[in-house]
Amino acid sequence: ASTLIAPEVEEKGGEVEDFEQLAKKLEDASPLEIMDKALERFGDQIAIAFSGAEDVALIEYARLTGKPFRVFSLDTGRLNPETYRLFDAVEKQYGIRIEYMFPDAVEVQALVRNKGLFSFYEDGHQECCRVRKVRPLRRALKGLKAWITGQRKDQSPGTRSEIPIVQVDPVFEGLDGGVGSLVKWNPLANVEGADVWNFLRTMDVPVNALHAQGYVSIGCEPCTRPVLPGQHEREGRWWWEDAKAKECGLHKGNIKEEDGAADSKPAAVQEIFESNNVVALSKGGVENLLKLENRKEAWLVVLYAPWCPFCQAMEASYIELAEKLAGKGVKVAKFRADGEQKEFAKQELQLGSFPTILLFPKRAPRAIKYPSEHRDVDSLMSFVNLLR
Amino acid sequence: ASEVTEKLDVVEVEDFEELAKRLENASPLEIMDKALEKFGNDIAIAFSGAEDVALIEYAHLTGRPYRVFSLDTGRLNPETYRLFDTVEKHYGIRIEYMFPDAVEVQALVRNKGLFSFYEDGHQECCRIRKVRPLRRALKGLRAWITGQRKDQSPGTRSEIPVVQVDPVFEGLDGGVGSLVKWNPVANVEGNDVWNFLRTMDVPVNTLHAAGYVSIGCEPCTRAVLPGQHEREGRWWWEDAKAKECGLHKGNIKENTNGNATANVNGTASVADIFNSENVVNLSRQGIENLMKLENRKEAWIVVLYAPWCPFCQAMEASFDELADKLGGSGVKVAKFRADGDQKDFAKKELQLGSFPTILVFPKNSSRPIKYPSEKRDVDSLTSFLNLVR
Repeated sequence: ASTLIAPEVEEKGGEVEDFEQLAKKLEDASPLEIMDKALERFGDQIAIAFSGAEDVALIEYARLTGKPFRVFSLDTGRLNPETYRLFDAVEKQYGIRIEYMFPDAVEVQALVRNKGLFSFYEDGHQECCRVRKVRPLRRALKGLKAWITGQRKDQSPGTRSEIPIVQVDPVFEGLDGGVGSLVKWNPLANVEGADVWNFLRTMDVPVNALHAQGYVSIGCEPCTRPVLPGQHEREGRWWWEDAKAKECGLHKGNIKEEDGAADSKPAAVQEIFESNNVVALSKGGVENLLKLENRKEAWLVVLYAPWCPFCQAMEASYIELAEKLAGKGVKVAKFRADGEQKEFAKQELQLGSFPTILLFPKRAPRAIKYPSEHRDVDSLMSFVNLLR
Repeated sequence: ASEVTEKLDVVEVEDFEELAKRLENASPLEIMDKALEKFGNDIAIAFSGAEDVALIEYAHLTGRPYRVFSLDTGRLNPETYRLFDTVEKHYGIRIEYMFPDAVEVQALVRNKGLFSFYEDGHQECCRIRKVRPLRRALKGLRAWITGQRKDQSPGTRSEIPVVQVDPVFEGLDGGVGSLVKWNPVANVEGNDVWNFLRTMDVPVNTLHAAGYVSIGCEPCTRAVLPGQHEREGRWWWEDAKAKECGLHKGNIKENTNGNATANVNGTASVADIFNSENVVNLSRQGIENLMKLENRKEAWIVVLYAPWCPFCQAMEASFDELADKLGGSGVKVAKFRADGDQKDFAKKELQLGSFPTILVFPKNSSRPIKYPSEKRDVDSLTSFLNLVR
């Protein structure tokens, strides 16, 4: 009897302890690492809950892991048209099918026939949300063992300290039913809103057109309104304040190269990114980096041409970044990709123009290309922190 | 026995064909009244959120109770949901919304996405979001009322009767012939529907002011070219408010009139207006009789006026011309002087709020309908009469 009881206690305690322990281990992990762990652990029995807002970042992270992933969304029947269009754009961009949940017809009809279509303005949103959101959500989660939300501490200051990276879901039940049958992952819990938006912009993720109209929070159309300027400025600034930078195309590189040849001077242009903290990679070094699937450290590599004025313009920022990241678990490196290395870099390193910046995360097989022209220290640092 | 039953069926079918012929020239109000009288609580208006809101106004004008249902597809424009709410509050009704089945919607959008109608046509999506919920609604009814018009479908122009046995759907009892379909505005031109909506100050979808002619689900509804929407939309931005004489102003005028009378020791110092042979001069007794009648031989249009009111004077020519045109046509045109001693009576019993007030007494309705517009030209008055007589 005591031996029978002991394993049961051990199993139960172990499981609960396991997720608490895991949350502690992942406290300083990047959202990409957390997403990767969640998908690795639960495979086809986990899904991302996508609301149509900036939680679209979760889908980008899932894509970056290279693992297959599922997404579900709650179509309440009263979303903004812009939100439906975003769902469609996301499906097309990521080549996925969102598993939409729709509210029960009998329940909706009973509600709106008795109280009208705007009862939430008069007696609160609880009843309407229960019919259009909570019950469909519950139905969706019954088919899963885990789910992933975009919840962040900075969204709920009152409960700031209470959103762990991963937890046994305190409210909903999953596939097996009962307490503990569902695990909830919150990869963005520790990320500030501004960093999420920086990530979305950097990675050119499709976002809801409502954000450009000043909406911060997105839900059903009647309950969603633009906010005061001081509130939306931070999130929305990218869309109308951004000024396109420029970069050197490969064709221009050809011309430059010919010039060099004509001059008959080898290495006439002075080298850039000369710092103790910037590792100069050979072709062999880059090839090794590509082969590794589990690296001791993340690597940030700039593919450059010393003659490119845009590479020269970012030299100071890159060197400063390297100094800041020294000893922090991220290696900063350079690889000269013009001349003889150009074809190799085009084929294997996503080289499209100079400069091209790649991040090799610790545990992802593929390099992630930095698609932004914002090459200041803060922007690069934010990118590294979110993906390392 | 079966032969007798068959004969009864034939009679029933014949009955609606005959009824459609009899009602061919009836006004939408008469048709609506007949439909509600005949089917009571087993009939409902199908309201889409477009100009078919006119049907609700007509039902309201009959004074009878009526039901309304709408199809909430889950993808309507926000403006349409707001109109539904406004209509419910304006008329004090509860719309019986129909919502599509969750399992069917989920299967469609999970397999084909949210915009499959742009790629492989709207039939499948409409079937799930509109046709099946509509079928469910009609199964609970014996008759329904639509806003279908001949001018909306030129290709089938001659095939929309005012009333018919529904050729597609089944009603409460199931089977062929179990559902009757009424189309009260089948013979009304779009322009006249809009004139009616504006005149009666009916709430309308704000999308119309944005250039939308046809209203349905948001992804399938688009603003049209200017030449197409101009006709329907013109009222909202082209209308210029006219003016009218308030009752208080009448008080002042009356005092002046009294003084004038005292000064000259004469009576009726202001010349009377609306002196056409075809305008009936109603006494108070005459108008009281008109109010008591619930079935009149003819419809009546009556202007409540004060001869000193410049706005009444301004409409004199139009009203006289209207009377001349309508002479012998089944509509009586009359006047009732409602200032002075008659003012309080007219305020209490005749909806007098300002001068002029124009009332229509339909043939088969107990209550007069007040003409709320300031457009008092012949065409506007004629159009209104044709729609409510």
